[in-house]
Amino acid sequence: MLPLYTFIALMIGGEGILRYITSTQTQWGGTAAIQAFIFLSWVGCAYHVRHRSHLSFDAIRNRLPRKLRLAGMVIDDLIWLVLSGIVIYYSWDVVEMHRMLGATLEGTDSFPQWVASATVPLSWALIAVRALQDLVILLRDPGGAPQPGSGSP
Amino acid sequence: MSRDTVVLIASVLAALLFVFGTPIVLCMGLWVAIVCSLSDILPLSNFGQSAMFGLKIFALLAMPLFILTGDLIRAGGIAVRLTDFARAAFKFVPGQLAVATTAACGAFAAISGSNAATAATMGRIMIPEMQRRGYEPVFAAATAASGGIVGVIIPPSLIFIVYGVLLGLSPGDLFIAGIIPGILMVAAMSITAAVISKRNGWDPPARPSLRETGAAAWRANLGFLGIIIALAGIFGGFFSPTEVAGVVVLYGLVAGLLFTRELKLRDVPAVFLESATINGLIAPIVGLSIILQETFTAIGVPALMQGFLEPMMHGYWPAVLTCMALILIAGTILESVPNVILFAPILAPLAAKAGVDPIHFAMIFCVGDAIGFITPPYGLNLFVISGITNLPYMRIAMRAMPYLISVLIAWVLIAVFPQLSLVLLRK
Repeated sequence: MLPLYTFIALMIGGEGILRYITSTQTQWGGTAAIQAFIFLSWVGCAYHVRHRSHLSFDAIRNRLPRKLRLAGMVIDDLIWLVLSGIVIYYSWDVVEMHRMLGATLEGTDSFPQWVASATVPLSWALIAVRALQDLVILLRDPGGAPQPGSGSP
Repeated sequence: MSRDTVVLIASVLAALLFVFGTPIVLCMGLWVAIVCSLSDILPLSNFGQSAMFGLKIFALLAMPLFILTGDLIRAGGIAVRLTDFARAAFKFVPGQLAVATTAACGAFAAISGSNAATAATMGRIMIPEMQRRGYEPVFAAATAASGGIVGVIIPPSLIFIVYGVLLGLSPGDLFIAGIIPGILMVAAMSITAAVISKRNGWDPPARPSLRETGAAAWRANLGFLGIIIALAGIFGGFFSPTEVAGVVVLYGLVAGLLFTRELKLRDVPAVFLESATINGLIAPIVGLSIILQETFTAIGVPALMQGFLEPMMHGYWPAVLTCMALILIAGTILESVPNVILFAPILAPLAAKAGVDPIHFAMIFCVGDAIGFITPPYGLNLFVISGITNLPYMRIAMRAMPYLISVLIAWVLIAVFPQLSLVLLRK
């Protein structure tokens, strides 16, 4: 996540300053920063899947008996897996299409668009891995699984 | 299965899951996936590809950058200097630290455009300090959570950028329009903080010192410079609203590393990672809200809502009041940016038809949306502060009620007096 965030900050801040000083800016800066932002966001999403810290209204779940609480966590993991499957399957279609057409990233001459697009199925695969990991840990050792909200912030 | 049955089943299931603690991003995703797969409304591929295209909006780049600005300003010691100044300036009022917290939130909001960053930063600095001074911990948490809502009203502001882009209004005009409403909200919350503190005997007023205030103001000069860069950059036309977020990030980095020297190079990765985790909470919800909005449109929700609302919105005041009620309800269950994406395109044309100035309506919408940060069940600032303090979410929400009432009063004033939003635009 660190290189992606650094890249976004440097591209947007640096481009702004560059344009102010030299009245010119790169054609690809904005597009590349957006791609980095998309990748960063879904990787960040995977982080919160692992820590079960996605925003949720857990006032009721926290008061449920332990077994029901665990069932809720299993359901969450299963939904993540289903959604990941859908996103990976259909976003890969787009990657294939970009590859077939030889599309290049907007503003660049040669950077393949499919490489940028592939970050989406890749990061959702990471989400699926994290959900699976959570599920395995939960089923093996229900007491040892991270509780909702245990990650940061 | 008929289209209506599928929508009903998906909605009931998503609502049940939400109530029983399933993350909101999952509830949104599941709803869209069920509706797309079991009906002919939209192909399921739309949902799959929304992860790729939902976030592909240049204006949204301001979101991670504003969050990062907040963390850099805090790690570089600039936020502490701003709060020190606020403390010195408000020494003469009861509950000086609580009042200083809300005022410092306002100052911080003028550098960062994110409510979560404002609440988190001020919470980390001020809550321990307030506890040391004898404030009730839950009240301290509620103060930081509530103060943080002005993060998106005092410019620069992420919501204004998204609203402006979506409805074809100038984000720069929205930034100018947000100045007085933002200050009004800070004033309302400061008065509330002072009254509650006085009633509980917390942090009695002390003799103010001009020298101390002047020294604190001088020490906070890097914070003021950040505010000037952000505001002059936008209003002077030097940078676009999104670019200014990037420029202020670089400023925060340079100021922390070279001027205050409280930010060490080895700490920078940790600061970036912290911001990235907050972005990872909010951005997926925003991304999925785009496909949610597309699905709503395909089902005909906007047309249905407009048809339903139009008879209630004949005339200026019925229109304003109906919209305010809807915005308030939406704010309790959804995040601010998705709210803008889902409801602003429906409500803004109806309000304009009723004669409400588009910029004034934007303020009504965005202030109401921001109030949603402290209204359960989905109050982002409450989640953020609960995460920082480990205090129960609902206890903070209950303690934030007086603040909620005060900003509701400010909101009504903003709605009743369009001049508060328009005077700086000379409209």
